[in-house]
Amino acid sequence: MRNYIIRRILFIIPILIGITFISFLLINLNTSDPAEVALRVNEITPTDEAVAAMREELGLDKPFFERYIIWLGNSLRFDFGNSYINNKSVSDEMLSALPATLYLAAIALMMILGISIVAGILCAIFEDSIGDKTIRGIIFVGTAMPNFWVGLLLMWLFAVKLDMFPTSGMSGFSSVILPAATLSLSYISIYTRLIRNNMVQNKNENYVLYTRVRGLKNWTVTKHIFRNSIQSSITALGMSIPKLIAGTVIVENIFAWPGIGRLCVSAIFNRDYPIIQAYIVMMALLFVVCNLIVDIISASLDPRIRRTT
Amino acid sequence: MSLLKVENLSVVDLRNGERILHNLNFSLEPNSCLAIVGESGSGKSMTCKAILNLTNPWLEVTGTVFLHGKEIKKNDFGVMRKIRGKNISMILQDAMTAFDPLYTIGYQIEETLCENLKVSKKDAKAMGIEAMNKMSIYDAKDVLKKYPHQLSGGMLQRCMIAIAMAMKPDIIIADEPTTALDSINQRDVVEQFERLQRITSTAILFISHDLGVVQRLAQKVLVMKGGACVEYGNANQIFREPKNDYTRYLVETRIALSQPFHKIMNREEVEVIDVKSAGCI
Amino acid sequence: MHILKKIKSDKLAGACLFFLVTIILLGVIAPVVAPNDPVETNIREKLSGISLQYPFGTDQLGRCIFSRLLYGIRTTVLMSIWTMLMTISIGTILGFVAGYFRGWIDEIIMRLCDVMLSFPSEVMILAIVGMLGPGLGNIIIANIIAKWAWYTRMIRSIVVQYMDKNYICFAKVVGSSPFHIMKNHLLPGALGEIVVLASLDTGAVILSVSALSFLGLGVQAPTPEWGMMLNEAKNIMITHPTKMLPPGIAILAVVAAFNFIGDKVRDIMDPKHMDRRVKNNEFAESGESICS
Repeated sequence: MRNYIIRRILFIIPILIGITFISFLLINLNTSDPAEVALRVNEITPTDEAVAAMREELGLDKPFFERYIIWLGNSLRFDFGNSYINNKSVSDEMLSALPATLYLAAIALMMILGISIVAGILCAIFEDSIGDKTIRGIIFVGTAMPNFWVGLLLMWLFAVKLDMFPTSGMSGFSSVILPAATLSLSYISIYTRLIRNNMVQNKNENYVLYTRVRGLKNWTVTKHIFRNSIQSSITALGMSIPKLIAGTVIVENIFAWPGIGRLCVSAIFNRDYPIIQAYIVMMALLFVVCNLIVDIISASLDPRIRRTT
Repeated sequence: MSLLKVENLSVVDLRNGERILHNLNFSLEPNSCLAIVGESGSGKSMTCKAILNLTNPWLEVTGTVFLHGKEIKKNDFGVMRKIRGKNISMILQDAMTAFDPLYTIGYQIEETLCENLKVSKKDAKAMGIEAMNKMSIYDAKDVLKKYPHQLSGGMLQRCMIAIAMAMKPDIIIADEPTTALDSINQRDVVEQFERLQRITSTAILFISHDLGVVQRLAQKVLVMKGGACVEYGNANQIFREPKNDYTRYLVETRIALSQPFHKIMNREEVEVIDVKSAGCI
Repeated sequence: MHILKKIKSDKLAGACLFFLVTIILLGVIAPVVAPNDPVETNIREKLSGISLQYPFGTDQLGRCIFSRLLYGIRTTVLMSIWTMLMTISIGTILGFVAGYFRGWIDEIIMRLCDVMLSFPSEVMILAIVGMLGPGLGNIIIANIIAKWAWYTRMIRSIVVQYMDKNYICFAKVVGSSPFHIMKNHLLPGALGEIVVLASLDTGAVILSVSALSFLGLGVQAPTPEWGMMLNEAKNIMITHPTKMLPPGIAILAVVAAFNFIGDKVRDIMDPKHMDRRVKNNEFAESGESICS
C-alpha cells in the first residue's frame, strides 16, 4: 500500500510538468503578443519602444525555455505574476475568489450525494416499479438539459416569480441554493443512474443470494449490496469533486457568483494570460490530487487491494 | 410425519411461458439424506431455490411445501426469512463467490448468527469457532479475520458448512457443494458431510451430479431430467436396479468414467466399486 | 448495417433517429425553409408574439426566432457533428497506427493519451479557449484537443482485438502492405464500432459548444446559435420569460435524442450478460499486482 501511494505521487510530477508546459506553450503560440495586450488594456499606444519596454518588464525577451523554467519555479512558490489588467498579484486574486467557488461546490456536492444515493437505492430496491421508471425518466431528461438553461429557468421561477431566493451575487445562505442546485442537477442524474445500475448488477451476484439464504433481514441484504456498489462508484464520485469545481464556470457566470470560474471567464475576455495560466495550473493540481486521494481511499476500502499484513 | 414434504412443485418462467419444473413430489425424513441427482440444467438447483422462495421475480412457483407438517406460506417474507435462518440452511455451489468480498468471514458469520439466533456478538463468535472446529478448521480464530479472497475454495466451502451447522437447522440443503472444488477438497467436504450426519440429527437434502458422492451419503435418491422426476426411491435399490433407462444410463456412465481413474489413483477403492458394479450390471 | 436495423426496430429509438435526420436536413436546407432572414433586425417588430410572419415571435432586436433556430442548427448541431467527425478521424488514425504497429510508437501515443486523460475535458476546453481566445473555430479546436485521446485509446483497443483475427494474420503473412490491410481488412470491421463511439458522445459535444457560446466564448454575434440565443434571452428574462423556451427546448430535444440513440446502441453492442466472474478475477489480479 505504501509503495502504491509513493508510486502514485511520483506519477503526478510528469503529469503536472506536462500540463504546465502545454499551457505555457499554447499561450506563447498565440498570435497576440502579451506585451501588446498588456499595453492596450492600460490604454498605452503600443509603439515599438513601449512594446519592447513591456516585453522586458514581463520577461518576454528571454528564450522560451528559460522563461518556462522561471515561470515554473515561480509558480511552485505560488507566484503567478501580476494581472495584466489591474496589476494585482494573481495568486491574491485567485485566493480571494477560491473560497466562494469551494463553498458553492461543497453545497452542490452535499446535494448530489444526498439525493443520488437515496434515489439510487430506492430505484434499485423497487427495480422496474412505476417510481423507478419515473425517476429514470427524470434522470434521462436531466442529463440532456443544458445546465445554463436549467439555471435560467430556476432563476426565473424561484427568484423572479416566487421571490424566494436572490437572483444573483453571494449574500447569505439563501443565495447559494439556486447556483448549487443548478450545478448539481446533471451530476445527480449521472450518479443516481450509476448507483442504481451498480446495485441492480450486484443484486444478481452470488453473494447476495447467499445473504438471503442465510436468512438475513432485507435491510442487511441491501446494506451488503450498497457497500459493494459504492465500492465501484466511489472513484466516479470522488472524481466529481474537481469536475464540480471546474463546472462552476457556467453557474458562476449565470448567478454572478464571485468565484474563480467567473474570474477565469473575464480573464479570457480580457486576454489576461497570467490569470488563465494560474487557473489551469490550479485546476490541474486539484484534479491530480483529488484523483490520488480517491484512489487511495478506494484502495484502502477494498480488502482485495489493501495490504493486510 | 415427514420433516419436509414437497407436493406438486412447479416453476414456470413468466417471460416465455416455459415450464422449468414439472410437478415434483418428494419428502425428507428426519435424520436422513435425500439426494437429488441429474445432469446440469435438469432443475436440481431450481428445486431448492423454489423451496426457499429464492427464485427470480419472473419465475412463478406453484405447489406446496410442508415443514413439520405445516404449510410454508411463500409470500410471507418474514416467515420465509425465519425459515431460511432457523429451519433450513443452505450451502451454495460456488463458495468462492458466495461470501461478500468486502467483509471478513468472521463478520459474515457473526451477522448471520446474531440476526437469526438473537445472540450477542461475543456468543456468535464463540459459536462460529465451535462450529468451525467441528468442521476440522483448527485455526478458526485466524480464519475469522480473513477476507474471502484470502481463503481457498475448500476452506470457504467448509466455512459455509460451519455456518449452516452453527444455526442448528432441521434441514441442510447442499447445492452441489463439491462441484467447484478440486478432488482433494471434494473428498474432504464429503467427509465433513458424513461427520455431520454422524454427530447431528440434521436431515440433508443433497444436490449433486456426482453419483459416487451420492452413494456414500444418501439413503434416498430422486433422479431428475428436464425438470421432471424420472425415478425416486431407496438409494441402494436405485443403484442396484435402476428402473428408468435414464437412471441406468447415469449409473453406468458413472462406473465407466470412474473405474479407470480410480484404478490409477487407488487400487483398494476400485475393488470396492467393482464389487458394487458387478451387482449393478 | 445491422446496428441501424436494430435501432429502427425499437420504436422510440427509431423516432429519435427520424427526428435527428429531420433536424439535420432542416439545417441543411435552412435558407429555403426559413421564413425570414435570421440576422435582419426590425426594431418596430421587436419582442412580438407568435404570428404567421414570425412563427415563434421575435427577439429583442426584432429578429425572427424561428429562422434563427433553423439557422442555429447549422452552428450548433452540424458544427458539433463535424467536430465529432474530426475527433473520430484523428482518433482512428492514431488508434490504427498504435494498434497496428504496436512497439515504441504505440507506447508514445498511449503515454500521451495518459497525460491528456489525466485532465478533465471541461477544464481542458476552457483552458484552450482561454489561450486561443473566443470564437467558434477555437471552440471546435478545443473540443478536438480535449477529446482525441479518449477516442484514440478506444479505437486502439478495437484494433488490437481485430489484429488477432485469422484473416488479418493471413494478410500479414502473404505480405500485404500495412496500409492495404488497414484499409481493406481492419477499417470495414472496425467502422461499425467507431460509428457507435461517435453516436454516444455527440450530445455532450452539443452541450459543450452551446455552453461556451452561452458564456460568449463561442459564436460571435449576430450568427444565430442556440446557446447564444439563450444568453440573449437571459437579459430580457424578467419581461419576456417565454423567450427562453425555444432555444432551450431545441437543445434539450436534440441532445436527448442523441443520448437515447447512444444508450440504445450501447445496449445492442454490449451484451448485458457479461461474465462477471471474469471481471472479478481480473480485478483481484490487478489488486495483487498493486500490492506486490
